[in-house]
Amino acid sequence: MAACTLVGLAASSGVPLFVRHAGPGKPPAYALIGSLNGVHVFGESHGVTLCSTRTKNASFTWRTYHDSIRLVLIRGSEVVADSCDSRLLDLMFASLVLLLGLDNLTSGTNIERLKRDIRPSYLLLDKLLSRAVNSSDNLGFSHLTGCAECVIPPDQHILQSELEKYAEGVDSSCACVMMNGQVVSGTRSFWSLSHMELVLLPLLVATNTFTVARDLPIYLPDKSPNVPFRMLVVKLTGHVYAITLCGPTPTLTEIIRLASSSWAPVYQVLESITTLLPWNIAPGLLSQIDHSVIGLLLVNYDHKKCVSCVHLSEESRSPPLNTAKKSAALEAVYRSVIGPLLQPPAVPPDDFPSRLHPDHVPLESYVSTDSYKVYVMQSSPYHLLILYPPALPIQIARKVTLRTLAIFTKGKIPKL
Amino acid sequence: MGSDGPVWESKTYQKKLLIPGTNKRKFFGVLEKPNLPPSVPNVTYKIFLCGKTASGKTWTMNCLSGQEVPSQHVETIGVQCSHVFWPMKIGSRLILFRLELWDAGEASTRQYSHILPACREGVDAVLVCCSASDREGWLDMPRAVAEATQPADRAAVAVILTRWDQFSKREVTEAEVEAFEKSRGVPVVRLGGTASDPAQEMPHIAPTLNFLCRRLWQRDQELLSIK
Repeated sequence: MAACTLVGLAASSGVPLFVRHAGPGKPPAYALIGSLNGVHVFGESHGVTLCSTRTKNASFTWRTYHDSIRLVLIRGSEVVADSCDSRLLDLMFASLVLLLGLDNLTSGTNIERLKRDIRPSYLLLDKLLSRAVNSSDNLGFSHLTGCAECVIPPDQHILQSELEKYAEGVDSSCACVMMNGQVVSGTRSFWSLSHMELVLLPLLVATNTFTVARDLPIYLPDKSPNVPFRMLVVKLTGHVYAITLCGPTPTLTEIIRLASSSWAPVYQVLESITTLLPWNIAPGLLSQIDHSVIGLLLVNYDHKKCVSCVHLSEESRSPPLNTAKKSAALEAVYRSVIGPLLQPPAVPPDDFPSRLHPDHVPLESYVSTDSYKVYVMQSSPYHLLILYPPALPIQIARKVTLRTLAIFTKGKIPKL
Repeated sequence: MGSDGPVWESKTYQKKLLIPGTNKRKFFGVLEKPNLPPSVPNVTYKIFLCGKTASGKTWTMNCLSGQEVPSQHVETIGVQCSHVFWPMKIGSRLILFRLELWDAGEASTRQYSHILPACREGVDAVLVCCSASDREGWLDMPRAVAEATQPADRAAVAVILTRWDQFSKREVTEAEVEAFEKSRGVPVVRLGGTASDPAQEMPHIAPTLNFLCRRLWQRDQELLSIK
């Protein structure tokens, strides 16, 4: 398994602020970390901005934010796409802003204080890093797609109306219900948050599963990077949380009371959402999916939602791929196809060769290897990636992918 | 084997706190509670954990609720609350105690003025946490306890000495602890380590929970009799 290290440096002085590491092996030595800044500064002195470097067995990506914080991502593997690593670094910086506030982070006055203030962010940074190394206990694609990781529950309308009532009761417009780091339902204001906020908030909630209620100050990186909101998280049942972004009211005691009274009538519905794990998709839809599908990732860029499932057809006859490998396969294909070939939000890239007829825009793609096939379909605003056993003929894969896309998109109300 | 009266009966109900088929304590959401007969009275007490950063507040909260803590110390941001259910026999009656543990990070408490009042509002007990490896913290304990005792709420006060199991780092002697208890009249609970066998998690912390519940119940009786 690949290893991944994140190094944070103060841009002006090169002083290392933190090092976070995920995967096998130890993080790089202090001397190497010190040299990372040196290399970048050398480039700057010659009028060159160093973006990324690849050595025989590692790749490095640098990004500087607000001339104040420099982040370096070190990947010890053959993973290729640089744009994904840049986006990952953007997410890492946004997670620092989330917990510290932009001004506090970039004012750069006291390095020791900054190092101490960054420490609480380690949990969130570690979660992002474990996604980057495809750790099996943190499956998800939100860091790649830039959309909130969701589940599709069977009683969406009941939950939605309860949530709207609850949000009104606590005087907050931005509220959602989450389970296991995935969004079950959200108010309209919640979905108007930016991509990065929608990716980070579920991960932040998932970093703390041992409390029943929390009140923590967060700075939304895009909406209000310097004015904190109070994020109130209440655990309704063993796995389901209600999250609201509030101002000075209500107090934590009040919201625990309000949550208990508002959500008690739908306790059974909340308990039944827990049965969606680990498939993330309502049984009614799951049963319609063909048996040849062993993994899927569906993204709706307009709604900023994505849903994935790597627990399909576990009894399939082909060489068994475990969930981590399936997730890694989908991730590898996403990185190599989406971006270079198919662009979110599901339109062709600007630099698509112009000598081709303008009607020739890529809509579908597939990747075939010894251990799997992945079919990628684009139908604005959706991207659908389906993982198949390697023996399945590609024409069948195409037909099944079309049919699967129809399951999620037919009808007046979109499932995702 | 054999019913040693209230302890045995408490233990059978305490088994209902576990996730069926495991030794792990179930973590109840706000809409849930253990499945006890409806005739059992439910009482709720609010407990505030205070103390310096890294004194073991979050650790104590997780120890009492039977949950795991991140292995490295991460300062708590904002304020967090945990519910611990504990069915226990007081006298001849079985009572379901719900302890609301409130824990706020030191930096957040200083930075945001709404946190401390929210924690202290309606509090029934204040637990002052201190690490047994922190000599300075221990010497400051009399002041910390005095600060925690505010006459308005008449909260019960106790001291929690964490990391008591780390002998090599201990900077407080047993004699000093006993002297403190005697002179101040404030009980000191020595907590440390976790039971090596997961099946022993609840029995390991049971004495502390029993002590807290009994103390809170006693305070209730005292307040009622004053009225």
